[in-house]
Amino acid sequence: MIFTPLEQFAIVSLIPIRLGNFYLSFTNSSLYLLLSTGLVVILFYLVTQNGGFLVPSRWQSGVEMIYEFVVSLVNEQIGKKGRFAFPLIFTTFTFLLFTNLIGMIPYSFTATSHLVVTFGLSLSLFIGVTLVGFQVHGLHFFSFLLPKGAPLVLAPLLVVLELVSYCFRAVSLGVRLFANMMAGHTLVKILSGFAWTMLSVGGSLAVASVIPFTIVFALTGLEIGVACLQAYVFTILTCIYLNDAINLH
Amino acid sequence: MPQLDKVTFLSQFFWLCFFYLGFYYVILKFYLPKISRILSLRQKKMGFSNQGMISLQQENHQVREDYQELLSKALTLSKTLFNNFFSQTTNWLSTNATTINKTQYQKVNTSFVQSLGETSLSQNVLFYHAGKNLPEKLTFKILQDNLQTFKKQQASKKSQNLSQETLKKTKK
Repeated sequence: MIFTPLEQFAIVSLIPIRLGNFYLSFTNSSLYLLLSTGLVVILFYLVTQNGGFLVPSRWQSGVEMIYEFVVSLVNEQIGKKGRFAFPLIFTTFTFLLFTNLIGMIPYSFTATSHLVVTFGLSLSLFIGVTLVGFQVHGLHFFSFLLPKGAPLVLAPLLVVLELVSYCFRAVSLGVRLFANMMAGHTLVKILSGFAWTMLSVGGSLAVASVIPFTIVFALTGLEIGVACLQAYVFTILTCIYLNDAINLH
Repeated sequence: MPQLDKVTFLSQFFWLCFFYLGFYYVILKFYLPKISRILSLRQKKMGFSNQGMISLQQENHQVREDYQELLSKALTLSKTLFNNFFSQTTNWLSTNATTINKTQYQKVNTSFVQSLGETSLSQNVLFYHAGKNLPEKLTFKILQDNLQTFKKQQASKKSQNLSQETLKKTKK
C-alpha cells in the first residue's frame, strides 16, 4: 500500500445523512468545525462568568486582547461607518484562527484546507460586501469601477479590467487561505514521511532521520505562525473590501 | 486529490454555514455584549477617557500651585521670625548692658578705683618709710637696696615678735 501525502485531507463521513439525492453527512470536517467553534464558545463562557473580573485573569486578558485587536482593525480600515460589521469581522477572525490552530495538532484535521470551505466562505462574504455596497450607494456603486482622473477614452477597457479585478477578489481570498493551509500540511506530511521511512530502514539512515525530524519540528512552528497570519490576512482583506464598498475610493 | 472530490462539497458547505452562522449568532447575542460591557466598565473606572486625563492634570496643577504657595508662606514666616528674634535679642542685650552699667559696673568701678588708690597709697607709704634718707639723684638700684633693707627690718621685727610669743607660751 502506498500512502500519498494527500491522504490526510480525506473526508470521512461519521454520521451519514441523506436527503433524496443530497448527502449532508456529518463528516470529520464538520466534527472539527464543531470542535473549534465549541472550544471558542466554551472559552468565552468561562471567561465571562459573573461578568468577568475587573482586574482580568489570564484567559480573560487574552480574550480581551482578541476583542481589542479586531476593534482596532475595524476602526482603522473602515472607521465609524463600519461599526455594524464588527461582529461579522470578529466571528470570521476567531473562527478562522481557531480552525487553523486546531489543525496544527498532530493527527487532527484542518477544515480550512478544503477549497469548498474557504472558497464558500470568501464568496459568501464577497457577495455580502457587494450587496452592502449597493444598499449604501445604489447604482452609483458602479462608479467604483472607473477610478477618478482616468481619461474617458480608456473607459471601456478600464471598466472591464476593474470588473475582472473586482470579481477576482472573491477567488483570491479563498484560494490564498486554502493554498497556504494545504501546502503547509502536505509539506509537513512529506518530511515526516521521510523521517519515518529513514527510521524504519535502520542503520546509518536511522541516525540521519533526526535531520528531517528537526526540520519538521521547525516547520511546525512556522505553520503555527502561518495559521495565525492567514486568519489575520483574510480578516483584514475583508475589512478592506468592505471599506471599498462603503467609502468608494 | 480529496479537495476536488465533488461528492463532499454540499456536506462541507452546509455544515460550514451551519457552524459559522451558529457561532455568529451565539457571539452576537451573548458574548460580545459581555466583553464590551466589562471593557467599558474598566475604562470608566480607570478614568482612561480624555475627561479623566484633563481633570487629573488640573488636579495636579492645583496641587502644585498650593504647594508653592505654602512654601512661599513658610519662607516669609521664617524670615519674619528671624528678624523678630534678632531685634529682640539686640534690644535685650542693649537694655541689659545699660542696666548692668548703671547698677553693677559703677560699684565694680568704684571698688576697683578704691583698691588702686589703696595699693598706690600703701606703696607711697612704703616708699616714704623706706626712702627717708634718699639722695637727690634717685636710681633704681638705690631704691631696690632701700626696699630690701626695709624688708629685712620688717622680717627681723616679725621674728622678734614670734620669739616673744613662743617665750610667753612656754612660760605659761
